[in-house]
Amino acid sequence: MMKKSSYEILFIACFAFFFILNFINVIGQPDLPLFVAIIIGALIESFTPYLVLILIIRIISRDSSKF
Amino acid sequence: MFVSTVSAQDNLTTNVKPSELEQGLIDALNSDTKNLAADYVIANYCKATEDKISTSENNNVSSKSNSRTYQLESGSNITFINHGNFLINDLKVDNNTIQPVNKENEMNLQSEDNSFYTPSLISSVSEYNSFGWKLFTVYTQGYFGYDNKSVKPYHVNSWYVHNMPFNLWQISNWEEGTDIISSNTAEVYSQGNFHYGFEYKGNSLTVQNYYIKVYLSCDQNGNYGAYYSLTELIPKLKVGSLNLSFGSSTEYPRIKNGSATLTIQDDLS
Repeated sequence: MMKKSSYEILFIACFAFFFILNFINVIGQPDLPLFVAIIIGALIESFTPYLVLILIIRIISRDSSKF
Repeated sequence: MFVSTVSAQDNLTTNVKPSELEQGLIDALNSDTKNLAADYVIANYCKATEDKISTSENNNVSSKSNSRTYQLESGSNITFINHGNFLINDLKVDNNTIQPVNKENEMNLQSEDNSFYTPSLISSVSEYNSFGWKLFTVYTQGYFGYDNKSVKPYHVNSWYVHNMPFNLWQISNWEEGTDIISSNTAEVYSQGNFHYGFEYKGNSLTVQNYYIKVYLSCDQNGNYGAYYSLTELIPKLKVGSLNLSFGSSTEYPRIKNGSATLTIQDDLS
């Protein structure tokens, strides 16, 4: 099983990836409304990959614990 | 190091001096003696002045005027908009090409006596992010037939290019073609809704939403120019009945019109 801090780090990593991806796609310097939209977008976008990664990690760790 | 652009648009500001950073970028592009790609020069300049660009919004130039357009030595125009945003638009004239025509146009070319034709024209507008990386470019290509009494537009091609990998921009409502504005003005245009965000079953987050029109215009005397119109719409979050806008309705839509070099033809008579 993963430690609680590992889940947090994984989510932060997912969020950081999508935040950067969103940020480099913005035309010009983002102002405050755009910045809020980017953060919300990154939060929503990172949620699904985060769950998928957890699922994969759990399957791998379950299979490896059998041996 | 720069010359003011010739413009048919009233809202273009040509007498305002660029800020230090804007002048720096113009100089970098104009003094590109090694013939490096403009995109490479822009990205390097933005990287080198990253801190200064983000804190430059309070200077006098930005606060007093909405946008400033300057012509580069390459013939392209660079337009600085507030919030560190800039775009480059260009008009390429191909004097050597025989205008490609489709079946319908070919018939018209043969039937029109005393008509003159402009060279093949390609108008483009490129959008950049805060790092100076080109996000996408919209092109439209066409030419015009004119005879001092009327003008006829011929659309050749219109397209857009995603210039950056991991590009999230999507295009919808894409349209291209010709338009007769009046008896003596015609247009060749491409337009579309450029937006990025995501949508799932009617729920959506739109981070940036631009309506972009790139067009060539010509009058009955063969005076042609390349123009663009950018309309930035408000960012929105829509989840079920919740409809949240990021920003005030007084700020949006942000509309920007501009033009590339206007070319005056000799009088035919």
